[in-house]
Amino acid sequence: MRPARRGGQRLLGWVLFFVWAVSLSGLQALVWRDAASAFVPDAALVLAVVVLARAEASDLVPLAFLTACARAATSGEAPLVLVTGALGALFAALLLRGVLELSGALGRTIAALVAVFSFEAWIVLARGARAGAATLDAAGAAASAIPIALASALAALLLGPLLARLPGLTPLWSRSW
Amino acid sequence: MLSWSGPRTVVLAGLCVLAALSLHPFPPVERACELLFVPARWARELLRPWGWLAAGEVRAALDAAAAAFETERAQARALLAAQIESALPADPALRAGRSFLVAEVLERDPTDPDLLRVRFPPGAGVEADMPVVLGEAYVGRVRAVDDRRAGEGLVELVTDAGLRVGAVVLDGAPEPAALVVGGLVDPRARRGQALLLGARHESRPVVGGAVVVREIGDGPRAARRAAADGFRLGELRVLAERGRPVLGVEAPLEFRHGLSLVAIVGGPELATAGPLLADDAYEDARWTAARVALAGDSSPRRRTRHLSFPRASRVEDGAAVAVGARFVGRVLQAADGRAVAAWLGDPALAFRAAALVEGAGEPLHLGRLISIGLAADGAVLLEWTAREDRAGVAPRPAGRARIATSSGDRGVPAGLWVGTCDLPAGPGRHILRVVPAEDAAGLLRARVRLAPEPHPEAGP
Repeated sequence: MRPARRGGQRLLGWVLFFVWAVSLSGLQALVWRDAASAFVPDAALVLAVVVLARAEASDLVPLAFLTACARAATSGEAPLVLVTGALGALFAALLLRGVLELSGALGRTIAALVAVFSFEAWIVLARGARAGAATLDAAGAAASAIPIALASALAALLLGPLLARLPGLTPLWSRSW
Repeated sequence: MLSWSGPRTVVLAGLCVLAALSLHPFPPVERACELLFVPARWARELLRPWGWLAAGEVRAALDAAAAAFETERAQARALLAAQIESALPADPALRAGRSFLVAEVLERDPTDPDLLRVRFPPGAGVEADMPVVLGEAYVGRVRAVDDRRAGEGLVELVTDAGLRVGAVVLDGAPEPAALVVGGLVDPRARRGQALLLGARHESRPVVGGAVVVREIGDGPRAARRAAADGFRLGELRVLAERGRPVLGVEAPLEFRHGLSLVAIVGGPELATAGPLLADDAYEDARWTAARVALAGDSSPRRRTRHLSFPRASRVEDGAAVAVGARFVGRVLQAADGRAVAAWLGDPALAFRAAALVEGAGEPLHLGRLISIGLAADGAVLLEWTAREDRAGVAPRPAGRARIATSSGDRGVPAGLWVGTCDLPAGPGRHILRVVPAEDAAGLLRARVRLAPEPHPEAGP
């Protein structure tokens, strides 16, 4: 129960979430380096969706910030672009939480699909705009995001329960799981 | 079911503001965001041990680069010597009685595309109004020598609307027709890819012929300018505009991307070029060792790396990153001993290059190459726009080629090896599949190019 949780426990929960997210981002970076395929999941964002399924709605902002920080540690994208993308992606997942049970298999799969698709498409769009592109290639951005979104949805379906049981995350849960 | 319609509106509004600031970067906000992202810096240190997993492989790659260094440096210097020679006029009549100092193009002025910043050996005797040429073609003249950065100066191109050059038309008549050339007929007026320089005040009617420099006037400035007499401005063309003839000179050079090295022309007071450029790519003091935080990028299709190096290092945005004599990428953003660099294959990377084509005598200046990604086999895909061949000039060589960096980008010295590729024939846009000289994917150490020492007498 959240009121029963002490601030220190929650802080530790956030620190451990960040450590897990950074580790997953680092792993993702090493897999991207060697994989010729585009079907590599965005594991850190999948973890954020899994946590969001069980956290308070008010945890959206710190969750998005730490997810973006984890990505910034392993990527050259601009921090502002990352935090905007993470906030938008997790906000979309939170809206889905109103109609789907995100801790269930179907809910977390759809939420991961939507969140990762919007995040990756946004990154590509923002990169183009910041590089001075005359027009924003929304179709190209969407096309490049689809394989990662599909791989992430599959990862959420198969690995969601495992990610939810990663050590140290329970202080972030808003109710018993 | 949650009840949070109020916060939802706040989040939505915040998202809109963040999205606008992301698409149209506002530097103070970007800097504030960088400060907030301090946890990301700590996290990078946590990830460093991951590189130890492939330490053996990385060491083998570094050892191979170190072993090839002496040979590759000698080959790069031979390439530069050939480039320097091709920047000088071949015609003995144009060489006689003149001194030539080869300068490398550092960059375009960000606010004026007709201004080039060039580097030459400090104390070489360069002065304002000295002409600048490339081979036998006139490029422009020195506008000013920089007091703040030793050995740097600004060159005003002949395409600048404010520059006027005295010239004559060699049309076979006993007395050449005088005219004044400078600026462009119209910035959009081109013949193919060639620019048309403006020409006016002709001393008699002319319809065609070769246009060469012949400066007039007295005094030391005019004397300096006259060192360019005889250098080629281009071919005279007569255009019809609104029913009346307009003169234009078809320039022999590709001014936009075709300038890498230029020669400053002067009298005996000007120091002549040596076998190396003022900015030697292989001077150890101009490099600093950098560590790579993680040999990977979690963004798909990106190949960026976070680097760290001593805080006092003068690393600027755009600086080259290399391993031995091999180019691996450029710094995108540097501050306080940290930098984000784009490796070959990252879509944010662009640089100027020269090619040594098998069977061709002279090196070929390629101009700007833009990295667009990696092929499935690891080849680096580089976009290249080849210029059209000109009438009366031997066609551009094609075939197996070795690519090296070329002057034209501040921070990237000429003569670092990029890789090999098959250079296609024909003009227009090409995608080069370059096998990189160094597979940088797993690198954990590299060298970053340092900016030159500031001029001792320069102010802050």
